[in-house]
Amino acid sequence: MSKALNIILAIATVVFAVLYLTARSATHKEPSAPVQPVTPAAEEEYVFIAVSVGNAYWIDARDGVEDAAKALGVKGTFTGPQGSDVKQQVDIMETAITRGAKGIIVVPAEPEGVVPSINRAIDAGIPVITVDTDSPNSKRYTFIGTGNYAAGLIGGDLLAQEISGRGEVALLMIPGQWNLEERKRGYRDAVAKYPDIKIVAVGNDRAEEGQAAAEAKSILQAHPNLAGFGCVDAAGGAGAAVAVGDAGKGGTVKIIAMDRNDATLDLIKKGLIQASLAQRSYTMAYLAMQMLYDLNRDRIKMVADWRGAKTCPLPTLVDTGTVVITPENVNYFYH
Amino acid sequence: MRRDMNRLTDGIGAFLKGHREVVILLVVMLVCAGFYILQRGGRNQFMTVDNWRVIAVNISTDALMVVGMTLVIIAGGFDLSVGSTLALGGIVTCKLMVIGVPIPIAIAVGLLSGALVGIVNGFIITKIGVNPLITTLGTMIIVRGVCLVAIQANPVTGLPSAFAKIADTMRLTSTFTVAYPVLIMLVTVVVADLMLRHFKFLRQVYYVGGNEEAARFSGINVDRVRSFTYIVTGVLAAAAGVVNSSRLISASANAGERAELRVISAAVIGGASLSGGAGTILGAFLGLLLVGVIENGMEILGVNIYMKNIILGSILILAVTIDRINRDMIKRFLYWLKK
Repeated sequence: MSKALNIILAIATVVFAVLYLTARSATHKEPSAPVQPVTPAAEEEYVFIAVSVGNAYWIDARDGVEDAAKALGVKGTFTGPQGSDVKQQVDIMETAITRGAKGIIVVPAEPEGVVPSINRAIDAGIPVITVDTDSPNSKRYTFIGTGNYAAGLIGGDLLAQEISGRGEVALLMIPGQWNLEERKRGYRDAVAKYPDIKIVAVGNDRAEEGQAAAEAKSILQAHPNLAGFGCVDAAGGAGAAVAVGDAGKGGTVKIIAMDRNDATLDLIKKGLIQASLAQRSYTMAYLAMQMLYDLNRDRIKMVADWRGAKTCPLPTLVDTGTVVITPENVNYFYH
Repeated sequence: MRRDMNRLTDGIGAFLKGHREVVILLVVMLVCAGFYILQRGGRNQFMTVDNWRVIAVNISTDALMVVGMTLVIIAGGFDLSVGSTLALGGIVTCKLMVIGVPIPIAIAVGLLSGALVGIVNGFIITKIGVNPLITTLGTMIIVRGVCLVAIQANPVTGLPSAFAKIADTMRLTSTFTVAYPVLIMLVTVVVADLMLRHFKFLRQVYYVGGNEEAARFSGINVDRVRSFTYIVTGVLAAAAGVVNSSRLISASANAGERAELRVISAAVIGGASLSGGAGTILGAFLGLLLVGVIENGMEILGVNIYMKNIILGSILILAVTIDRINRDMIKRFLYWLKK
């Protein structure tokens, strides 16, 4: 046993010595290179770090990154963790900082955990913009998006209008996911303005349509007088529509969905979903890329030396608003 | 001549089969070489000290859990609750600090909360006799629920600035620096590995996992050993939560999400047997290093986000099967190529 251990340790030592030496020589070469050659635009990399990247919601943002990268002649990398653990996101951000990305666009999984990494990037001279979800306590240069709370408010108002301001409603969400909790808060505050509307249930759709349908069915069983569903994530709308359809209440139980995946759009056409709330995630990504690019070239100058003045020329916030998709305009939104 | 070659390859094969750690190290080196060659623009972004620091910090919290998980798996168990326990450890520690409890006491109570999860797991599994998979699946969900209820999904912030020091970097000289999480990881892994190899009490873990009946007859308190592995895992998961919170200067309820699968797969890649009785901590750590290197390398190469899973999964399967490849298989492969 101890012989094996010795062999292993010897091999490990050699390997790490080799790695360390090659790595050292690589980093030591840099200063002797001709004074900071300007990276050619084609090698200039901008990294977009999303969250729960498997979600169809990000298709538009990815298109925005790619279109902007093409238009600007730079490299745009769309990446992010599979889940919503902020630690995974921070790992990716540290990798981007270390490999010399020229700008970072991040959708914080939650606003606090990303603060140390965002600040480290800014201190290293890499501009950072938050999109979709903000991290107001960080040094990020600007935030582009609607804000989840605002989206929830609009959704709540739409739902209230659909059910003529009265009745029992249920929400579908994923507990603990920060952006959805914010949207839920928005829904609650919007509905609170209507004394005859009551939120009777909050279901967990686990980001999956089958789960959403099962949960919505139970809610319909428990609350036969339910007037509407408010869905704060993409899976909820389609799931609630299945449940409402199976119960033979299609069109009578109103559904406000979230986002613009093609499945949701089909259900809007069929009249099972009354409206879906889409955010301009394409615009967020495109604008963020453009802003970072201009900032890096000092093209946008409010003062000659904005770094010295400690004031970024970018706007403090950019509200990209929301789009309400209804049977009238649904055809324009297919991917 | 030919026979000598055969004997040599057989010899190497037999050696590799007995030394999972060497195999994984070779795979790690292979993967590193691959990333080094493939990196874009010809600019070396992968094999730099800074990037290896990033990899080390990135795996530092999972590494603590891997140590515990390896013990649990060797003893024939399984623990799905580590990710949730990580979140719990972070939340308990941070909540206490926010209300003014001194940092060391807050951390101690945080670690105790992890021990409590381990005690509950161990009790249900050994005394009530519920399958470890179901037990820890249950506690995984319950503990995550406790985290959500405790903070209502609102990240804990406003921590004392001294707490951030745990994730800070120690400067030994102007060029040689090491982040504390990496130091904690290395010390834990090395000490635990040596202890598992040489301490009599810990050697019992192998006997319990290898043949429970025989262990019982030879006078080993099987239940106590089993429970011990779960408690160690709980404490280490909570410790990972403390380090994680220090790094993020906050604690959130979905911290450590999916960590259980990363950690279990790392242990198995490193040679831990899911049927118990086999595995080493060094091997499991190298398995985790492999996962960390692949994830980092794919970031640097800018691999399409939807492709990543396929690549990661394939390399992991390659890593567990590579020492099963023997001479006959290579012969058959060459024959097939010729055809």
